[in-house]
Amino acid sequence: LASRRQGEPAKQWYQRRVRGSDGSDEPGTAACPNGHFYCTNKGFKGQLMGSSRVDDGICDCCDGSDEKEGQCENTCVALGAQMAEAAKIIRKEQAIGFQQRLAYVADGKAAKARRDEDIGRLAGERDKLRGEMDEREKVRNEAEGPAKAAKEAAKAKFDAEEAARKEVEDEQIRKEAEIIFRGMDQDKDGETTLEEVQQYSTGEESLLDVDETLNIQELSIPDILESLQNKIRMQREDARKDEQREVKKKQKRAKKPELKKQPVPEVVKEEEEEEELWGEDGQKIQKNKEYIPEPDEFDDLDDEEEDEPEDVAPIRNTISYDAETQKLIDVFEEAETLYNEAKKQFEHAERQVEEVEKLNEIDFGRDEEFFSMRGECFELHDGKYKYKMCPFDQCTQDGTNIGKWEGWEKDGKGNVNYGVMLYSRGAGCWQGPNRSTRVEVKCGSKNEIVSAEEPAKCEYAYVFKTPAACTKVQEEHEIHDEL
Amino acid sequence: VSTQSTGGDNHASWEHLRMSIPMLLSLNVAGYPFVGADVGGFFGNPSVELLTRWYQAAIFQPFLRGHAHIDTKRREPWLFGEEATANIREALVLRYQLLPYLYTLFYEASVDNSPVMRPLWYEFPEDSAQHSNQKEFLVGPALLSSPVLESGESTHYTTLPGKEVWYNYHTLTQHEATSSLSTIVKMSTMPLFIRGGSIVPIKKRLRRSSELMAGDPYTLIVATNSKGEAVGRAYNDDTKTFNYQKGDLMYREIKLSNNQLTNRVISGSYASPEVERIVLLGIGKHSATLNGEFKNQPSREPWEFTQHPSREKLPM
Repeated sequence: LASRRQGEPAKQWYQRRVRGSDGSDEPGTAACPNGHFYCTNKGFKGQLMGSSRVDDGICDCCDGSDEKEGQCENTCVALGAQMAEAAKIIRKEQAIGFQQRLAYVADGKAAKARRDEDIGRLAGERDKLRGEMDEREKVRNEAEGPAKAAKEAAKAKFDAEEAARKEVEDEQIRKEAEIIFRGMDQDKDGETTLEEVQQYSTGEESLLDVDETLNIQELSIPDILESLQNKIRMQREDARKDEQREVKKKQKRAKKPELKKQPVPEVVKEEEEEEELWGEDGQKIQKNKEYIPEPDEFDDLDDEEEDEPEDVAPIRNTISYDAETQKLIDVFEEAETLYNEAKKQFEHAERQVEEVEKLNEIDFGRDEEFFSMRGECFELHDGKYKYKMCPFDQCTQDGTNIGKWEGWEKDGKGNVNYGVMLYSRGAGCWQGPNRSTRVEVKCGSKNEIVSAEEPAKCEYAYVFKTPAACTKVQEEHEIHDEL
Repeated sequence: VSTQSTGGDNHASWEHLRMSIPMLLSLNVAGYPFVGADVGGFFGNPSVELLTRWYQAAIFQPFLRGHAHIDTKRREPWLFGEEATANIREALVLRYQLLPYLYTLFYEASVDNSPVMRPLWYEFPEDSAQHSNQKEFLVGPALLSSPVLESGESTHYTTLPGKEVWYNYHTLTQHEATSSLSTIVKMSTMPLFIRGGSIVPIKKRLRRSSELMAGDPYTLIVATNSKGEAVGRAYNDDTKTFNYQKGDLMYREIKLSNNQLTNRVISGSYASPEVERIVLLGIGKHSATLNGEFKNQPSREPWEFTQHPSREKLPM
């Protein structure tokens, strides 16, 4: 052997003539890494495979030509028969599905036509109603000012009158209290002593609370007078309340049964009933012109008052509007009612338009063939979970949302693939993505989910068969190629 | 051989890839050869580059397995695009080709506990500069792996220890021993060198599994040293049973000396496949004639001689 030199080429001896890099000269062996081998498989279908499968002990070809003679059984004819049988069944299913699809298409297209009709009509109605609403709003706004002003004026007058009346009454009460106080002078010596007050307070007609007399030593005459005045005032109010109750009872008997509940004095309650009208100042306005008590701002939460059956407020007098004021109020209230009615109708019409628009946003297939399955849901029980799909809505696994309708799969160029539905933004997954489902849509004789799996964590895959996907009935040989 | 073991819960990081080498070398010299680290790291998600480089390093380590925590992202080799798939596939194909050699090393380890994965000092104790080299390692006595362990590396430095020649496994180019051989590396590069003076049995046929390789013929890589000599061993058995303990095995020594390539039985009588290819490295430009025949080789097909890289053919 001679000298070696740096980087000199190596020599290789080959037992077999492995020459060409594509192995085309050695088709019958696995000697070449890039080689290919073709089995004829008479009775079934020919198969091209890598030459690594030649002579490895596994019968890859149904005619056994990839292994040594006698090692494999020839199963091609049997396989061919199986394949033909399977193809027949598929064809049958496709035929049924194809017919059903025609019906789906008809339904879907009819629905689409209806929507197109409807949307024009509905939009027109909505616009008309919007106009009416706007008009009525104008009328209402115009009536509001005068009514408010009249009310305020009436209230101011009433307040003034009330203040005056109160002054008069206060003076009356003061005088009355004094009389009572002087009456406590038992021995008529011109002076009322604390002992005499104590004596009086234990009497039957006493206006002083027994409790108060406990502190009688600490009480001063002004205190006593004040107590008396308060008691007298309370008596008067009770009397007034009784009077009002009587009046209300009479009214109730005379009136229709739609008399509304009175507001609680201390709080401006929110009324849920419709047709309630509220004035600008938060005061409830009643339509009827009878005496209806209003919350008096001076009256505080008097918790010692028992709950009146009709929540009658402890009021001295009630405001009543003169005919002119009341007319303005009525006009405003009517305008407001009409406006609210119009608003309701407009909103309803707008919702209807939106509903149709929402449907139009969904792609129901090239020929609207998927429309009829919207609104239906399909289930598959795999023994462990219940998988559900409501097309164009969402998918669930038992109670968990595993995806909301996103759309059809699109290829890189934006072309829609009606063979795959995508549902995403489902319930979140711990340490993982939001759940999502990919639904493969295939031709079948009826709508059903045929499989449901979770190939990757929190990513689900359904196979859904439907007539909607039966766009053609294949020739037998076409099915063979697919198999 | 003892049971296998992984290196525990490591991280998807370049640092842990680098650490796998000294860790596994320590275990090997301690008598625990069938060891490896989870390819790609147990915790975390490796980049495509890290995963590829990790596979390329791990195929030369005794226990090869990809593994990760359940909450990591999927990292099957085909999920990272065509280029990464091709690179990782190539690495795994190379591992399978080396199985006859690896199997031989494991047999020898089961007999005398010699390490399968060896530090440089194990074979070259006199090369004291390499006593702390943790970036390269030997697979048995004949193969040197110098994996790329840095992200984005384009120039890679390898030490070829000892005093003898080395051959690049892929290009078959010959190199003198050196402390710093630089090579330009791409993502597909897996630096591997054959020691001059060794014979490595491999099987080059691509199969779907190691079991299907059982009947495939061998390729012998004969890498000659400066004296034109080489020696190596090949082991085989039925890979399924313990019958090898009763002698149902093949253990042969192949030797090239005095211009003769001999193949003698060390022990056992298990029938093994033939040799289909012999790669001779470092014998010069002269043509060599193959006199005589391979005894005990049933097929009598004529041998052909091809010179690499030029495709000159000379008749036998």
